[in-house]
Amino acid sequence: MPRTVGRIGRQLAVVPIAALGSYLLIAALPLGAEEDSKRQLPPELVASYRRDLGIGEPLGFLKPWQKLFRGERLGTSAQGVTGEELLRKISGSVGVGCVAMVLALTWALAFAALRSQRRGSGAWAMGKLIPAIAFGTPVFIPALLLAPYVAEAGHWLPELAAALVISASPGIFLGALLTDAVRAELSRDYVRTALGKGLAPGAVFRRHVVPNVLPALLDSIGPVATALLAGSFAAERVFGLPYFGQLYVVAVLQKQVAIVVVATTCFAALLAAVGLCVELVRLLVDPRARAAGQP
Amino acid sequence: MSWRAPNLPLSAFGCIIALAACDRCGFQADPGIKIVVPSMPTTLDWSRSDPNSWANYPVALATMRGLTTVGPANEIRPGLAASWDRQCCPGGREVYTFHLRPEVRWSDGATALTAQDFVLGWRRAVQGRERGDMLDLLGAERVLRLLDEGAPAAAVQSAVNSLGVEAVDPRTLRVTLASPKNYFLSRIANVYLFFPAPSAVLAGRSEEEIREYFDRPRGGHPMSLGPFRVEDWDRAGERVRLVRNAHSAFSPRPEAGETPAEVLTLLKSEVGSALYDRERVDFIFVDSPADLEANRRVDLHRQELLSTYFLAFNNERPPLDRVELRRALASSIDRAALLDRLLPSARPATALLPPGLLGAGPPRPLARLSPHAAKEIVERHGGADRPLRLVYRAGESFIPEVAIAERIKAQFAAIGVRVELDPRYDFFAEIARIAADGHPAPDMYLRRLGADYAHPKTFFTLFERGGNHHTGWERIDSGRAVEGFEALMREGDALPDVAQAAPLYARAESILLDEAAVIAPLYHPDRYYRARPRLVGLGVDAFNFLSLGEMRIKKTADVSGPKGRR
Repeated sequence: MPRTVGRIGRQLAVVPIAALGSYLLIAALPLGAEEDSKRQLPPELVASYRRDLGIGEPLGFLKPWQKLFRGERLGTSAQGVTGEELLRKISGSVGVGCVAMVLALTWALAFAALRSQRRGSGAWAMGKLIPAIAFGTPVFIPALLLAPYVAEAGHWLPELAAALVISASPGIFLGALLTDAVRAELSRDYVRTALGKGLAPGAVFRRHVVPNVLPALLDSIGPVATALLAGSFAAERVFGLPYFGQLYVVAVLQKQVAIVVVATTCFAALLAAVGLCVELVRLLVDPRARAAGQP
Repeated sequence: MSWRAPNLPLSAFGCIIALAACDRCGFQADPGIKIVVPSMPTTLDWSRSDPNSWANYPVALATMRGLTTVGPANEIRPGLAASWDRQCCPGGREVYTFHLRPEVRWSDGATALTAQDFVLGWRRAVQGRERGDMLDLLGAERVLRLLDEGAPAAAVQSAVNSLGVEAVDPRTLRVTLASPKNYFLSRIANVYLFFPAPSAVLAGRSEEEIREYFDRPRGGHPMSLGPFRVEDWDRAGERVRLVRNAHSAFSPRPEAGETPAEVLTLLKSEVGSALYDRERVDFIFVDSPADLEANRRVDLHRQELLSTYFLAFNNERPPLDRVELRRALASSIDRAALLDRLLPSARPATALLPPGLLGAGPPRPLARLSPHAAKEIVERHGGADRPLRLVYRAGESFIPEVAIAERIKAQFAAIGVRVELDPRYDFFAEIARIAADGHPAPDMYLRRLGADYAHPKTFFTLFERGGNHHTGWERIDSGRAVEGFEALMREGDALPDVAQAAPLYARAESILLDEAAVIAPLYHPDRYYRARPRLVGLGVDAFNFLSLGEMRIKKTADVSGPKGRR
């Protein structure tokens, strides 16, 4: 248990570190100094930079958060966001990401089933081909192929299509990991022992193999889930969805530095939240995690 | 009670039915007409502009009006002003007194338009990023100078307060120009910096609060005067939702069988054409020649623009510093061949001023030089000594720039001039760059010049001293050519109307094209778009701005908006 607490603590520590790190990096940009480069920027952008980041003020790094919690806008009037808007955008991306996560796990299981087919069969060949296609195809290509059929169609179709598109590659990745982990476990002595004692292969798999495979899978699910939940700029742009993935990139392009600081921290918070969930699931499914630290 | 696993196919079917029944769920369930635009606005604050102001025009023109408006033949008509008096020229100045229409109300239906609204809007505009556009007003030059010098705010404010715009009474606005400008009435019709701002609402607010008022639409603001007002602007989603302004004095008058459009959504899309084909959006621009070839359908429209695409010469660097060579190159170009089969139709240009513009003369004859004669001149003046670099804009454009550049290269090769093509994404930075020899960097460049307002001045401004022509022509002949050009412009601008000034503008144009051969006009571009036949009055205007103000919907068709939505 203390080990789990330690892991959770490490996950949570990422949030303030990311918040402070991103703030200091942004504050160190030449934008803040009296330099020629600043004169190129629109005055409202320079004003928002000073106002939102509280540079030079004590506890200035809390300024963006203070503004958000007060319901004030961060950034320029034309491009900034309020806390309410930010929440709406994060919830959009998280919604799409949750569906994508379910889909990714489905693809992972399907792919694992495909790869477990007999060597030389058509399905086995497909299992070899699919990763090359999935990892070699940028997200925007399937998005562009699908977008004419679903964009502007309503009924959550663009959101579902975005989830479908972004889930493919992580799904195959998890599937490949799952297959390799299962294969490794199947070759272990305890499986042979269990089979030798007359236990049915299905029961061996359920009772012995799956509990040993799941922890390995959980380690990979964290980063994959974070990437999915934080939104994909390419998918959101092509399907015309205004969620967190687009906001983050647009904020960078429009030099809305305070939003970048806040969005980076939100990303870190998402990472920590996913890590927390993973640790909870680990406690449920992995007896070793529960036993660790016990005398 | 034991738990039973749900029937999966049945659950999936239930989910599909639930989604199908969910009529306006998901982000993109915007009702109304959907219009795909190439760019989103950068601000909704029409009193403040920025270098990308063209992107703001569709919304600004749908939601606001100027003191004057432009009629179908580009003539000036009353807008927010019912009438005006012109007084010329006390102390060398020109004074306009505008009498505002009494019935005009802002979109809240209660606030009346007043002369003070213009005073507030114009005083803000003269401090904005495109304040140079306000230079004609008396006192604007001083404000600009103070701002450029970084003068204290109090000094700037004092100069702003003495700007040549004053509210004589709530219905009367007096505008004083530093010198007579007959194009002023045209400018205030189109250039949104001259639109009013609701002073009754904005009084006492800080500049930051005013920006917030415009750029974060909610609760009925920003108030508008035009047929629509902005209800929502999603920056990350790249869409702007406009709703009908029921209190507008400029609402289109639906004819029998037509209804006004209640909701419009302007959006950007990477797959606009495909969405139009699937009836999910109602308007798209058609820009690429391939699309134009494929889209010769009933709903493909063509709008002739007040615009000219030209080839500009570097007047300073040899060999193009020789006017004979520039003239030979300009008159050797076969314009018809340049555009052949690139576009469904094209209007080759022999003049800078496009046909249809008030003040533009009759078509200028162009005696095309034979290749043999052109080659002789090229050889005589050293035109074949080195390759010439032709810069043009890389990236998306409704002008077939690559094809035109390649054809110019081929045509010039036939007369012995070697051309190196240089497509640039940083086009404007490149043509403004001064090379190590002290001359503008490119030898030649291709560029489109579009009218901002319906007057010849909009085309000539670029070539005045300090204009962004980057040809170096202001220095040729010790500046005499540009002096003559500017003297004609001044004389023409001072005449009371454009018809009287037309001969002077024609002479100025002749200096630019014939005597100094600074540029060679190539063609007058058109804009193509597709719009649903049921949408009446939706299109593009001669200034290349999306025109929404007269839009109505034919009742006979489905008025639900794009397919599948109510």
